[in-house]
Amino acid sequence: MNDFQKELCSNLAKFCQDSIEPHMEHDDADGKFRMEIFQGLGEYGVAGVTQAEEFGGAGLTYIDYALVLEEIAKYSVPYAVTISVSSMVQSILSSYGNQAQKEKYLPALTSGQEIGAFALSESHAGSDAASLKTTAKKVDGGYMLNGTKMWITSGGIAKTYIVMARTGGEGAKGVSAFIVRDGAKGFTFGKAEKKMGWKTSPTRELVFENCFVPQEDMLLEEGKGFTVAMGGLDRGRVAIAAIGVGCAQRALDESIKYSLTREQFKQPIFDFQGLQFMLADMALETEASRLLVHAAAQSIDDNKPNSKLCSMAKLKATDTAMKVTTDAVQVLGGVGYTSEYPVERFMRDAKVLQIVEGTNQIQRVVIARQLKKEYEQHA
Amino acid sequence: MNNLNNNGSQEQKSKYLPKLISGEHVGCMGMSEPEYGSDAVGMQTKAVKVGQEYEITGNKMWITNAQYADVAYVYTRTGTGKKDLTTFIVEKGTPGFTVSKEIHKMGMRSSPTGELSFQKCRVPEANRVGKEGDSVIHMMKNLEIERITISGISLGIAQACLDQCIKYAGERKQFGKTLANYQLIQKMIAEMYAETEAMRRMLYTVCYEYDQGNRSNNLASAVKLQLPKMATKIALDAIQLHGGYGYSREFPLERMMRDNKLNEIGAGTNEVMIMIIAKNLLNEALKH
Ligand SMILES: Cc1cc2nc3c(=O)[nH]c(=O)nc-3n(C[C@H](O)[C@H](O)[C@H](O)COP(=O)(O)OP(=O)(O)OC[C@H]3O[C@@H](n4cnc5c(N)ncnc54)[C@H](O)[C@@H]3O)c2cc1C
Ligand SMILES: Cc1cc2nc3c(=O)[nH]c(=O)nc-3n(C[C@H](O)[C@H](O)[C@H](O)COP(=O)(O)OP(=O)(O)OC[C@H]3O[C@@H](n4cnc5c(N)ncnc54)[C@H](O)[C@@H]3O)c2cc1C
Repeated sequence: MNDFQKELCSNLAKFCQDSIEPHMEHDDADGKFRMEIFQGLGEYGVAGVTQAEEFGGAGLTYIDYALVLEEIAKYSVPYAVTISVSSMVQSILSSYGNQAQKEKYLPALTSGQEIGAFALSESHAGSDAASLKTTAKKVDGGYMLNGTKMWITSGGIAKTYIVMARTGGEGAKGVSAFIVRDGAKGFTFGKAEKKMGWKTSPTRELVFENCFVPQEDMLLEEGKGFTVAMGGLDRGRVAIAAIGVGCAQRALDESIKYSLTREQFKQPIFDFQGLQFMLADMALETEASRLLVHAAAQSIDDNKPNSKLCSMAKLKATDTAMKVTTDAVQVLGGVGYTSEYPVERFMRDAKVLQIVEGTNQIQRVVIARQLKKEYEQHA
Repeated sequence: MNNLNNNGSQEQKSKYLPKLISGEHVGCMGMSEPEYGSDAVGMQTKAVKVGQEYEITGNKMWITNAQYADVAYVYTRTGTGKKDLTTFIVEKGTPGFTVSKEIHKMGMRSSPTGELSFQKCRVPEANRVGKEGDSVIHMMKNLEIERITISGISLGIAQACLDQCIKYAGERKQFGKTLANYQLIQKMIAEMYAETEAMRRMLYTVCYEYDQGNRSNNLASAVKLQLPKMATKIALDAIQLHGGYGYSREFPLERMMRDNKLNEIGAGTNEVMIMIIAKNLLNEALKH
């Protein structure tokens, strides 16, 4: 880390300690999201880390962004996720939006005044997102949306939604991307999911019933929806991976702290080799994941996004988050199983990192595909 | 119950067992303390003889059924030696005996956990189980049984996860095919099956030996080391196989995972099982 990054992270850590940490135990139990925390992060300049300053962003690198997400995730995985999804919406707008769309929607997002959400998945279309059924029918002056989106992070709290809907035939080529605002006529929120973790990040259904979207809120042109959706993928994977590193790091920190003070058999449990080996492995996996995340982020900063590295980082860092948080509950023993200590919350928050932004099975499919491609290129 | 049946007097058994067996009464067992978990034998709750009674003072932490128990089976220290442990049967409502509110946990939420507190709580000598100082042996023998039975819960969880995965793999379609068609899914299910069967065969074999009267501290610990750990892995994989649905409360999988994690901690952690097995196997080697 350079001096700037060190300062960024230590200031952010202080904000998280003061403003996020004190709420997490109770808000996790009650499933409560706090807009003031999100906006507070916005005031810290981390709601639009990589966006151009022209639109209110901080103009920083993807490595900086990975460090920011890691830091927030150490205190709250769900708030880091809210930031990352909103940032992904910004990346999509800045890569594929026209000047008018950027000026209209970006500033409220980069400043953290508003939240962005990304709506691709449906009840029957998860990994196979291209099979989505929500339709957008061409009408005078725009499109009429009908259908239901499922699992939408920040559904209900976000103002700007990027929605994928079918304008043409089957498959990816028939999909287009739209910008829909909260409050649009015919756009309502369905059931809120009850989940194992990520309790302070609402996940909801979006329901479109004859919801009119004007032509000017279409991104690119008809049939380019998947270009838009896939364009954000590498970045999204690095973001989830960075959150995984933060999640693992916190679990490791808690484990070290607890094992140095807890005594059994008249000595700190840290002194038992069995625990030392566990802690050493936890640290190793966390550090290896971090290096992979930074390598993947670097490829984005170099304008040569390496899909293989991004998938590897996502796969490795989220598997590590799961393993390290599970071990942390074990290290803390009985108290680790209670909500008085944060490790069980981090363990519950870790699991879904292996499912979103392409399940870890799909990452393996992507990595294998890249291996073949690379081989053929060299042959 | 088990402990009482093995170690209690005839009067104690006829007084307490029938209602516990019929389910009319609930029992709880107090061994762990805030500062003594893995090192349970180091416990500090004291029982001092006063005339025909014993006076118990101390706290018992993490007690399953605490709030609902009609009788508590409580381990105490009655002497200065490390192994001077003695058990008492304490009835609900005995003056000086109180129970804390529920502890909020990751899982096993329909099984309440609480702290038992004893402040100069007097119990009659008749409620002492066995002789003074007998209880380390009671405890170890009983823990063996608990370790085997708890592992049965993990086996049930693993089997339920496997069944649910097989069902879902046949129902859920992605990319035009049911999940069952993908080799990565087949691998997850085949491994779950292999692991569940390994768990079952191991558990049943050891149970059979115990039924024949062949106890083995080593095998009981090996069962407890293997089964809960495998079930956590299987439950995590089962969530994964269900994607987003697995993470939601719509399916029971995330609950089963949260419930199972406790089995890697309660009745002796995985690490304590390793200690026990190593001590038994390396008994000779450790002398050099
Ligand atoms: C808390 C949460 C937040 C979310 N937020 C958003 C959001 O903001 N926006 C959004 O659009 N979506 C969101 N999602 C949805 C998420 O992206 C999907 O859950 C994910 O894509 C997986 O889809 P699925 O749940 O339908 O699982 P499925 O696709 O049904 O997968 C089930 C299982 O099959 C495996 N599988 C599928 N295809 C293959 C294959 N070809 N080969 C091998 N294995 C395969 C998967 O790995 C998985 O194990 C969210 C989900 C959750 C749980
Ligand atoms: C929900 C729940 C229900 C319970 N129900 C009961 C009950 O009904 N009655 C009862 O008496 N108890 C009960 N317990 C207590 C349980 O038995 C203890 O939690 C368990 O024995 C671990 O003790 P501890 O939590 O104090 O962890 P600690 O002993 O503090 O252990 C912390 C960590 O250190 C490790 N460790 C400790 N010693 C060593 C060593 N020598 N070498 C290597 N590693 C070591 C452990 O494996 C663990 O990872 C319950 C616990 C829970 C969470």
